[in-house]
Amino acid sequence: MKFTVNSKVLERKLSKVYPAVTTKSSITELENFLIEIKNGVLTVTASDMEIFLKSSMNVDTDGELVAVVKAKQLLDVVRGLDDIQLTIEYERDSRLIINYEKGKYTVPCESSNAYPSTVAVEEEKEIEIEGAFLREAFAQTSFAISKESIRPSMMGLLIEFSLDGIRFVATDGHRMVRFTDKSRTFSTSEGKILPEKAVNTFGKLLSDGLINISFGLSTITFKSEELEMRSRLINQKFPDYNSVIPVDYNFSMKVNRQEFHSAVKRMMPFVSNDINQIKLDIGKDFVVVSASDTEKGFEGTERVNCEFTGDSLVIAFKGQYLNEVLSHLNHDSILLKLISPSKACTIEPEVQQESQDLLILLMPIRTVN
Amino acid sequence: MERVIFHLDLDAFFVSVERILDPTLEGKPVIVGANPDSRRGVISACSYEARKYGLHSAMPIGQAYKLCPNGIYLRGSYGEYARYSRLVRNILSRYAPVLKQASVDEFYMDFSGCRATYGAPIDLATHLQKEIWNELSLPASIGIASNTSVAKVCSDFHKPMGITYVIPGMEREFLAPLPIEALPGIGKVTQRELNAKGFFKLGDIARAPVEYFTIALGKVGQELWERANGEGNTVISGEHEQKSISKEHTFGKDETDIDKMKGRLFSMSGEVAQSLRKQGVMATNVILKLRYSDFTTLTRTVKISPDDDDKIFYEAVLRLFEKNYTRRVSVRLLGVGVANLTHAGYQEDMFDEQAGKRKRVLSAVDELRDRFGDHYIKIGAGL
Repeated sequence: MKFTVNSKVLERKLSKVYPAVTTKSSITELENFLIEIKNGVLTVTASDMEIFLKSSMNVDTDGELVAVVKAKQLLDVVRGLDDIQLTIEYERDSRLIINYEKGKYTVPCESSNAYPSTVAVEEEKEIEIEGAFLREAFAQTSFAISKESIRPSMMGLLIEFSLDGIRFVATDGHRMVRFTDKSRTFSTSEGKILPEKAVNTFGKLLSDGLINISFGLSTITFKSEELEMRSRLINQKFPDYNSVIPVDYNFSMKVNRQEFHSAVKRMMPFVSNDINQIKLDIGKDFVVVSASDTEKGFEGTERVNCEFTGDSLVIAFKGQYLNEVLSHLNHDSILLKLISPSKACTIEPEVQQESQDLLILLMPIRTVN
Repeated sequence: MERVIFHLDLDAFFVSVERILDPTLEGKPVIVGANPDSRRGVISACSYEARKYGLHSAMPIGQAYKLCPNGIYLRGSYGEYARYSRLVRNILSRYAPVLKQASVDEFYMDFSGCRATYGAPIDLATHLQKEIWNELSLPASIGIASNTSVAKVCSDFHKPMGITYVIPGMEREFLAPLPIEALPGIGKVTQRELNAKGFFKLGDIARAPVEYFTIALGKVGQELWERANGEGNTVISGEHEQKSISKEHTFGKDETDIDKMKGRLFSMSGEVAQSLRKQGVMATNVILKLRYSDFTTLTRTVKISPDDDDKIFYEAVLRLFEKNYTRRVSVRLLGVGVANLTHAGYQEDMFDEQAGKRKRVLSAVDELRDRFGDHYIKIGAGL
């Protein structure tokens, strides 16, 4: 059978699903695209058994096909072509021949039976939400997702839909981001944990428009017009994040985020790889940010103006954490609410965006000396 | 090149620190290492005033109490001892090109070839001694010799605040009149045995033929004879940063009982964690080693946040074990290790409220083990 397709359109479709292709699995078939044509619709699928991406487009054809081809080679060939019309020929379970005016490329096909079948999906609940909002929420929270397999429930982003709004929570036990939007409400009340890989991959692929989200016990699917993204869910109990957010605090420090972040960023090269800490020596009107690598003799100290409600407090944070937290905030003025040098510190924008609530919790480092 | 090895020993270190913390103890018989309530255990250190009553370290407290009932018995502020030890080390590291800390109150330094910079060894020793005294109010004795073994004997020769320098070539003569127990490594048992054979002075050993000792004691005997003759290590093996710590256990009979294996992993995790805490470092990699009875061996690592907690290591290693112990074959060996050691402070965890409490328990356990031995107290799996 034969079909014709524009090279750039095909490239876009292939690129969209390519992130799910894996070369790390022991199942070598996962290095492939599954290409299907039925009723004039071409569908490309890729999966690493954890996430699953599927993209469809109309093509000019009279036949049907199911082909399994090496993803990287096919994408590389198509990517290298100019914006032209391709005629692709399929020889059953044998090869794809890509013809265009100047030449042809032959890509071998593997048996379509070898491609792992995807799990049966039982997703009864459905909601709709704008892709642009989801993308933003993922970007704001994903950095705090745990990378430690020792606590599997935290290796994903908790998404809670309810009558009160939608909430995203990520934590690794050392920092936590809780982002709530009260303007988007749902009749269902559910909490699902989306694995980190799905958050990062889908976050890049989400389009602006409305996304249809359906979910069941073990999978969740994000569907837009051109792309279907499915992931397995982490079926674990997410830790009780509300219980660790301090209700009361003793002091607060108001600081210009940009100035504070600049100082922290400049301090980063001076943070010892070993100790990896930034010290905040907070006084009434200014905070002294400092870092040192005593072994190598590097030392950095900087003063940043702030408004502190107490007299003085010294607290230390892991440099990388503090830097990441500050770079994920885009507000002018932020508030650090503190209890003591060994207790959780909450960081919030001084003025929240309308109907939104962003809260970051950062645990300090207890220093040896 | 002339070898110049210093051995610095802090005099009655624990007592000296206690006196800094509480100056009213000055001039009084102070005994550290006893539980003031139960009067059990042995002396860790005692002041020179207490030694006049016949007290010495390692003496059972009950006996000490009979000899010196008016003494001041202290439990010991071990955290402070470690802190002062670090401060002394900082001072010494300003001068010594090669420094090795042998224990909390003992340091070896190699000043070979430093005469042009620091002048005569005696002057340098006086300077170091003064600096430690002026900065920290800690008395120290220093021995100087051409090797570590003689330097250590020297530092013990004049105490407190003594400096003893053995001119190169005079080592044998210096040691000859000293009692054999002055040589480190000759304990009570060896001393009794050697005394019974007529060896009382180090000179007696030095004069006897080396074969006498090699036949009776093998390599140890040879070393003993050499050291009595004033020989010893002329270089200090500088401290190298440890990269990992591990414990292994080979089962007497290949093991199939999973609970027993888990128990073994638990105790090894504790041992590894304790040695980390002793060194004041944390680890970010936990390693399981598993050898089946057919000698197939696998090693698996998991990354964690920097920690030095028994429980965290055990949980990590248990997870590895449960994931990787897949064959129905008995197990010959199990090992628990940690790697990627760091000096980072402890990163607090919001979901582990128990951690802070456990850290305090662990430091108390370590303190007890330091004083009474590793088997004095065991941690239950429930902690």
